[in-house]
Amino acid sequence: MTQIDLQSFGFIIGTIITVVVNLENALEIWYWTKFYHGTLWMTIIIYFLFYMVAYSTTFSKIFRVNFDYVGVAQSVLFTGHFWLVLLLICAILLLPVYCREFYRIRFQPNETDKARINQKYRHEEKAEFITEFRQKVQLKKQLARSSYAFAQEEGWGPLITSGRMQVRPNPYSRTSHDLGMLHASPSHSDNLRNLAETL
Amino acid sequence: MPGQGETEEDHEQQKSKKPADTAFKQQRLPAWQPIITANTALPVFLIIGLTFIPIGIVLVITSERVLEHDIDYTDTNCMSTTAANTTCAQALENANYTGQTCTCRINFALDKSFDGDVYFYYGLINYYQNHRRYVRSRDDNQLLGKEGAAASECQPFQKNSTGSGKDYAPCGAIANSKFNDTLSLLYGSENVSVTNLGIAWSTDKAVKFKNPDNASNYFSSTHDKPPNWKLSAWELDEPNPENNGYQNEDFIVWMRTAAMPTFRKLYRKLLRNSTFQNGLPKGDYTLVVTYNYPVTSFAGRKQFIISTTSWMGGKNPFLGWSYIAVGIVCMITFVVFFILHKTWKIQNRPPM
Repeated sequence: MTQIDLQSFGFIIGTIITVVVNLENALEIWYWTKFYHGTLWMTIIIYFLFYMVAYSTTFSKIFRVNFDYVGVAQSVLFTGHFWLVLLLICAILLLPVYCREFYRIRFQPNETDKARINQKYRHEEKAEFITEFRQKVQLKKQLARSSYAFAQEEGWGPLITSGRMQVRPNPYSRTSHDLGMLHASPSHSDNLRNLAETL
Repeated sequence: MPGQGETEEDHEQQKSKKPADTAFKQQRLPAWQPIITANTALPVFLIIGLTFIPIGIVLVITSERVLEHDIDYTDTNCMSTTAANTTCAQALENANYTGQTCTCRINFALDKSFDGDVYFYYGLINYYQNHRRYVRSRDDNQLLGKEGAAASECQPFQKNSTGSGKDYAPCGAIANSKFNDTLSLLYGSENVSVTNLGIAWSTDKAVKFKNPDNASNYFSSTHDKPPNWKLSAWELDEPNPENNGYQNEDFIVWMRTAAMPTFRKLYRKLLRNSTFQNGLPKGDYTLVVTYNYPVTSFAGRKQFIISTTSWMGGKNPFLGWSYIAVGIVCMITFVVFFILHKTWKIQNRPPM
């Protein structure tokens, strides 16, 4: 047995629709500029303010009109019941959209999503840094005794020509000279430069 | 070269057509983008689940504390005290709905005492007060006591075309179908003290309904009472002129059309003095009904409802259970996504 009247029921439905549709739009939007912020929050705020004024008794006294909706905003908006219902319906209608977006970005990212996530968390920069650092430490251990002074000793020639001294190209680096040559070994001049840097 | 002057001017005009180099016009506004990662989404599900379930539990408990007792008195419960072995519904039908009255007494018991404020409602089932044409059938200007003929919206309850030709006051189908049963309670042999004031919306009473000047003349001579009314509007509550005529609170409550075909409206409030200081005590009661309102012709039903109230209104467990259900679904979603997040690796993806 409900106690609600027709006009309050209509007002509740209208309010819920306005709020949910605006918030759902907010979940879909990709570029949050200050204009969008303003539009979104002002729509909702102006909706409530407008109806509080339009359905107030003062308004109807000033303009001497009598219509069905006088007093509806007051009776609906000042009960806790309405706000609980609004919160529940927002949750029911917005969480599936949120789930879908989360699922899509986390488990089925397309290239744009991967690029955005990479830019946000700077994963590639970090991975490149770590690989370079690790390589430098390894190279230091490997070339600890490969200073040029020992180059005439026996055994160094085959060691150098065996290719073990070559610097592995960093797969995460984006330097211009190894575009298109990501898996090729560096040239001889690079090798000497690397050797010189570590001394 | 011919036309060089024009090209220079065109060049000037073309220069001025170019939009200014501001961030707004060149679409360079700083923008922010939310990226929904596991770090942000999983806590959201968890928090929503953890807040909704307690809210739901609180709402269910609050609703369980509200006590309610209803009595359906449409037919079999309400046996006429005058005619033998007929229900009041039957008695009205036998008299062909020509305005007969029937009284009946229903004995019932409250097994728990109703503490605090107690409200009495009448409930109607299968009564469509939200019918589109019915809702429009009223004249708000007449209800403000303004001069003028009754609006044509009130047809066919606009004026007494078969009799005197005077306008009905109040006109319209909503007013004409006003609920006119009288329901009173006896506690043993004592009358339960009730008040019929403070039951309508305060905004309605303040601005929507006003008696016209010279009300007794208005209601008795210049206007007729609606065809289905027994008393005229000026006889609704004669001891209290503020509650008489259009300003009668029962009338105002009826004119607020209900949204659903199963509805209840506030009828009386308990006056808490002497025996009823703390509410309605436990015990045996008698409901005395003056049965005037016929509903059986459209399979409607009538109920008398006694109810306490909470900060949330009447008894409404559905909202609480919905909150609990949504909270549980959120928690399940959280667990599922958490497991997927930890186990589902994507190729060529930097670790998140």
